[in-house]
Formats: sequence, structure tokens, C-alpha cells
Amino acid sequence: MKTIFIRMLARLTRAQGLHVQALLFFALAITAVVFAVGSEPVLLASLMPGIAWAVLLLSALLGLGDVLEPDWADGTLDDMLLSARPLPALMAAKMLAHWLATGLPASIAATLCVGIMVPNTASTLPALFAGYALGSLCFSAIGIMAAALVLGSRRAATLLAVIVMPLCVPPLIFGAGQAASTQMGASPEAALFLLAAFSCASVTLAPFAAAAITRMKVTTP
Amino acid sequence: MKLNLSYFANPAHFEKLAKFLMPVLVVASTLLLAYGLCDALLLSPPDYQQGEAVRIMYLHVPSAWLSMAIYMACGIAAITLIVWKHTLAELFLRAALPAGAAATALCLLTGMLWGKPMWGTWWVWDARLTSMLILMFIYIGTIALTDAFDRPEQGGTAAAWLTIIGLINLPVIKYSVTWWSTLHQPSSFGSNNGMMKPAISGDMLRPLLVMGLGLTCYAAIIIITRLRAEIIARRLAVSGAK
Repeated sequence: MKTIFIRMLARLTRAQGLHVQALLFFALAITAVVFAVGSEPVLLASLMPGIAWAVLLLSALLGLGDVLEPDWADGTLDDMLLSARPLPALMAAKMLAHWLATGLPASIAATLCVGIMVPNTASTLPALFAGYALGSLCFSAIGIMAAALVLGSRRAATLLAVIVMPLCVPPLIFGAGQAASTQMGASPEAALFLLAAFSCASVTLAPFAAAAITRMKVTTP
Repeated sequence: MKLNLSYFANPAHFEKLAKFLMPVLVVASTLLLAYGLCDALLLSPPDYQQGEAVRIMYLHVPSAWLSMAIYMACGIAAITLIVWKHTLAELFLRAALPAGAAATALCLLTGMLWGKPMWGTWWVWDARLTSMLILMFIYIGTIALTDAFDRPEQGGTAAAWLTIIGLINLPVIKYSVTWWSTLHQPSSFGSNNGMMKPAISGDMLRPLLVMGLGLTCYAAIIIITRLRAEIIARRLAVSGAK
């Protein structure tokens, strides 16, 4: 199990540089948005936490194609199905590896971004980071189910986006709500708890769903 | 009472049922829609606030009902497919999902047409509109998934899984969107909506229900016709492969 997790993480980071890719994508997307809406500091300060959420969701799509598809293509997945380890645990390992490779770096980048561009936010940054981290964990959980669904399909990248985006609406809303209430000076707890509840549910259920879907994919004649 | 539903999972038995149901549904939907349209467009009173524009409701609300009812039906078919592996359930998904997407699109379009004269804008990020838009995205994603595989059975099963995931998620999405839109904007728009009034007048409820029933029959006709076509197409594909 540990091996799978480490192997997965190594493949996503060392071989493919996904963490660098995620950070780079994050920086580029934020810069593009700033160019598009203008560099007005007051406007940016009010928009930035929300923009960071949207970009976080987009950066979660990065690398989802590499989580299961290579294992499916070279037959490793068949081995995993036959192994004594429970498949949901393997899926959970892959989900965590994906989160560590994309979600976590992007969350750190998002927090830094808000910290730099929005004045007087230092005290709210820990709660903000918790929100970004929990949210990106949800995105990875939903992502692993979507990655299992599109295994062996044509147009996998487009399909991933279309499947992941609507399912990610609740964490996005809770997260943006948390960011908004922090900005208004209200307590971020309510939104943060909802976000935590959603991530608990998705992180525990998604590996089972992904495992069932993968098993169906491999065994369907 | 023992109703053996798996009896109808046999395409031949379904064909018999369809042959019996189709004329009934055609007559019922023609009559209901003919009466419903007359009642909705001519007989029912204009709204005291919205005037004649309220008549869009008689198409808008039934299509909203249908979009959700068809998703429910797809959810049941998806569970049937995963648990009992009835091929007919997969074909039903293929037949019904585009019909549901069409109903959702109709609901969104009529909603926009209604919104322009009433709210002065085509689109508002109101909770209902937004969750309908998300439902549309889910429909599109599921339909895209059914056709994305070389082997159609795989697409059908994948779509069934996504439908089930969507079924679990839709209440959460609906709730979160409601929470979001009340957070961002007070409900200054929703209260104009005809359906939001505590009691809808009986003269308006009657055509609404008739239209709802008529459109349901119409949707059933579409789905059964598509399902028969899917059965034939699958038979052809299987016999061609042999």
C-alpha cells in the first residue's frame, strides 16, 4: 500500500513534475485573470479569494488523466485488481497522491497569493488555507471517480472537465462562502464546517465508488 | 401482490407493452395538450402582476418537473443496470438522458424568455436558475460519457455510475446553490415568480396540471420511441458483429 502511494507520488511529481506544473498553471491563470479584469487593487482585493478558488478547481483537473490511465494502459490495474490489497485502499492512495501533487501546492500558492494581494489578511490566512486544502481534497476525491469513469474513453480530457465541474459545485460554493465571510469580517467557521463535512463524505466514499467503477471497467467483457 | 418487473426487462415483452402503450399515450397527450394549450393560452386569467407573460409558466414549470422526473427515472434505471445488469436499463438510459436534457434546455430557455420581460434581464444567478444550469451540465456530461467508448456497454455502465453519483449529489448541489444565492443576493427576484405565491389560483393550477400531464405523456412517447430504436440498433450491432 505504502509502495503504491510512494510510486504514485513519485510518478506524478518526479517523472511528470506535476507539482511544478500545478504551481506554474496557478501563477499563469491568476496573471491572466488579473490582465483580464484590470489591476485595480481594491477590485482585486475583493475578487482574489474567489478567483483563487476557481483556479484551484481548474488546477485539480491537471494530472487527473495521469492518475489511472497509464496503469490501465499497461495492465498494472489488472494486477491491482488481483492483488490481496483492497482496491478502495489503492484508490485512496492514488487520490491522496494526486492531492499532494496538485491540490496541496496550489492551495499554498492560493493562500500566498491572497496574502500578498489583499492587505491586512495575515490573521485570516490559516483559516483560508484550511479552506483551500479541504476544498482541493474534495476536488481530488471527485476527480478520482471521474478518472475511473473515463478510463478507456475517447476525449478523456474534455469528459473529465464536464464530469468534475458540476459535482464540484458544493465545495466551491462553501469555500467561496468562507472566503467571503472572512472578508466581511464574519466568522469563517460555518462555511469551513460545511466544507469539512463535504470533504469527509467525499474522501471516504469516493475511493469505494472509484474502485467499483474500475472493477466494472476491467471485468466488463 | 407480486409484480414481476424483470418480465419487462425482456425486450420482446417490452415491445408488446410498447405496442399497447403507444396509441394510448399518443391519444392522451394529444387531447391533454390540445385542451391544456387552449386553457393556458386563452381561458386562464392573466396574472395580476405579470399580465399575459405568466402564460410562459404553463410550459416552463412542466418542463422543470419533467427534467427532474426524467433524471429520477434515469437514476432508477442506473441502479437497475448496476445491480441486475438488465441491458434494457442501459438502453433506457441512452433513450431517456437526451430527452431529460431537452426538457432542461426547454426549462432554461423558457425561463430566460420569461425573465426578460419580468426581471428585465435574460439571466440572473438565482438559486433555481443556477441549479437548473448545473443539472444541464450533469445531463451533458452523462450523455457525452455514454458515447465515449468503443464498446457501447461500457459507456452505458459508466453513464449509469455517473447518474447514481449525480443522484446523490443533486440535493447537496441544490442546497448549496440556495445557500450561495441567499448569501450573495437577497431574494428580490424570486418573489415575483408566479409559483412562489402562497396559493396559486385554481384557474391557473388546472391548465398547469393538464399541461404537466400532457407533456409527461409526450415525453413518454419520445422515450419509448427512442428506446425501441435503441433496441433495434443494438440488435443490428450484435448481429453485425457475429
